[in-house]
Amino acid sequence: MAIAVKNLRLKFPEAQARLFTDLELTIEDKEKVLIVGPSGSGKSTLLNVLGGLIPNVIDVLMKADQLELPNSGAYVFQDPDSQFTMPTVAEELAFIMENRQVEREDMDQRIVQILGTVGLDIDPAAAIHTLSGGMKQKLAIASALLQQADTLFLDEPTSMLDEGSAEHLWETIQQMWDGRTVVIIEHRVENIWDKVDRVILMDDQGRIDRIGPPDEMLENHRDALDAFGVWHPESWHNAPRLPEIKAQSDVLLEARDLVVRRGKRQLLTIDALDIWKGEWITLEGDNGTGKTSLLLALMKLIPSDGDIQFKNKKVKKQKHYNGALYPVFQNPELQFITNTVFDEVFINLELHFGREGAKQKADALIERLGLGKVRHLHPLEISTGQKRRLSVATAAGGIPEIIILDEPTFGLDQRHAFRLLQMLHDMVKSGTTIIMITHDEEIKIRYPSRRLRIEDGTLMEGGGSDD
Amino acid sequence: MIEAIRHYSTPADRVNPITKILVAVGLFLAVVLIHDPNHLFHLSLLMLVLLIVLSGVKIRYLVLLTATILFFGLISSLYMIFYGEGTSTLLRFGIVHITEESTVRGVHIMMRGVVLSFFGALVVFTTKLTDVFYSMMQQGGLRPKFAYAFMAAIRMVPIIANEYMTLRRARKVRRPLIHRKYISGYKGFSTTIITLLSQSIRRAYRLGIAMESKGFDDGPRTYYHRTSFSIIDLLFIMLVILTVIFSYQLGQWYSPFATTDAR
Repeated sequence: MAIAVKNLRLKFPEAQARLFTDLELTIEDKEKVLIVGPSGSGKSTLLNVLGGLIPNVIDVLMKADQLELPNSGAYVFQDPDSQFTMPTVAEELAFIMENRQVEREDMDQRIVQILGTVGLDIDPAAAIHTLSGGMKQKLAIASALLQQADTLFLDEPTSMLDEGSAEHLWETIQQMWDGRTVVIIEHRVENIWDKVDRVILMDDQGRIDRIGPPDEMLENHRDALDAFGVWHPESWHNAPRLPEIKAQSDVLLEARDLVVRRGKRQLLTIDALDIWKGEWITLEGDNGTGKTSLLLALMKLIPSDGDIQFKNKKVKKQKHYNGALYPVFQNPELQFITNTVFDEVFINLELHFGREGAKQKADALIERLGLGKVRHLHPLEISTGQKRRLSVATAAGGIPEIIILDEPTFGLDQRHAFRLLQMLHDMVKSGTTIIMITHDEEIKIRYPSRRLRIEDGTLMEGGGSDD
Repeated sequence: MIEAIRHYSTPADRVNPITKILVAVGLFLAVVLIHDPNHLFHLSLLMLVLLIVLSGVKIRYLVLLTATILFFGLISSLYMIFYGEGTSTLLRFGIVHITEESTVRGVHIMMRGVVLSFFGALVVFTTKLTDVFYSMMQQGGLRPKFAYAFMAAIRMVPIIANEYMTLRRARKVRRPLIHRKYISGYKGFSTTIITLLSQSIRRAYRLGIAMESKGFDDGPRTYYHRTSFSIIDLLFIMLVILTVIFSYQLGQWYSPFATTDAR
């Protein structure tokens, strides 16, 4: 037995109630376990207890009647940018060996070897900030392996990666997980569900609701998974079925001979792009092809060559849009400017609908996106999924005519993702145009009225080659 | 980033960062105590030669850098040139009173700055930041806790800059929709700072946990970059001392300034 926990009790200092009471869990040696559950269920906290981070590194009150933990565990965290210490790949890997007091003479060879193991074909002297998200996470796995851990704790390792990179990362992980115990927390489970030995479902009270082999969980406990809004391989059967909406006949945005650059490099050239009222457009393309840059260029937030017209008026500067084109960025935190969730939605509507009207509308939006309970909190205090919903809420007041969304369903649980899609549908129906970047194949084939993809430095109609 | 503008590596790369810093301090004291503008004139020329030879930086960047240093040097000397005291007037224009003495003094001050800038540039071009911290741990007795915290913090700088760009864009877009009071003045400033800070603090906290989970502590460790003092350090020190002495000799031999004391 690798891990055995009996009667675990844990309470965060600022919390009113205990997060865990009487938690019991055993994980066999070399078992692969997937933990799923709604946000706030304590998955990450549990993982930190199992790996000994609590209470050794993070000071939290906890007690257990029995606590058998692995001798050596290593973590891979979700955010690639907050788990590396050093500027270059080699130095980062060396950092771990320095901690373990590996002799200098052995380091170079081990670095090359471990990069090979995780299939990372890069120069060890490369700077980490030049790597893609997927490569960074592979580097994190290489780091974990260098710790010679018998147990790996993966805390949503693919949550910041696109579909292709995520799939690739899971392949890499599976190639090296024989002979190790692996405990995984993950939202996006389609690549990993049937590869693990057991799935643990946690409820929203910090309890283990049920445990079972993946196929049995899917067969017998789908209701429970759905009830907690957890993604599972068959989640999309519950997805809202929405009738396709025909675009209206007015052209909103016309771009001609658009050239988008990144630094000096020419990223994209587009001869003509017309966007109509009431369209639902998805934008696809591999990482680094310039999806985000294209949207920024359309919004006139980065310089580009060519002509952009909005409602037959030439747009030269961002302010010529006058709020009609509204983006929801990938990192919602950076869009917030007020001190409460309510104000964040309210101020966007205030000038347009007047105080009372704006208040009512803001209340309705907040309820609709399930933010009622947190409406008085600071926008930076709420959970990642809530932040994402809030940033959509700020766009959804009805004033913007084109809303641009960068991966809006990232990090949302099943329930909220579906609710969001329903809401986007309603907005399209009332004449708003939606342009969204998404990597989610299921969304791409179900909802948009038009699909665009970036390939070979230009924009094409239609879906990607992978379907 | 610096590596991108260099076209060869030089022996100065192998000088211990601590040596470079100590030599820089020594050079500063020496330059402050040099009052002979002829001496300083030749010293700045020799420093430029050292920079060109030992930095390994592509020449067009050095030209650009030298022009910048001279430009700012000139600006810093103008105050002394225009308003300094002196008896033999060269030009009088309103409150501007340029004399021979004030000009020499102004140029002298400029050359001090130029010497130190050239040497500083040489140090910056030939020193990797990680080496500074590795050297301070191995030779300077700095505790790993601080050294690695600094190195990690440096990694955060471009990330924070990036976040700031995004934040500004987000505000630009929202501006037409909302009342000005929310993003202008003190309120706009404070929400910017709070957002960036809270992001950084959260990231730092997570990074701290990640570092400890990778077995980092303040205890004994091995070092990937081994820095030590070597014969190269001695040679580097000798080189700088000889440059100072030699420039003095040159000043005796060729004196562009009439005076030997700028005070």
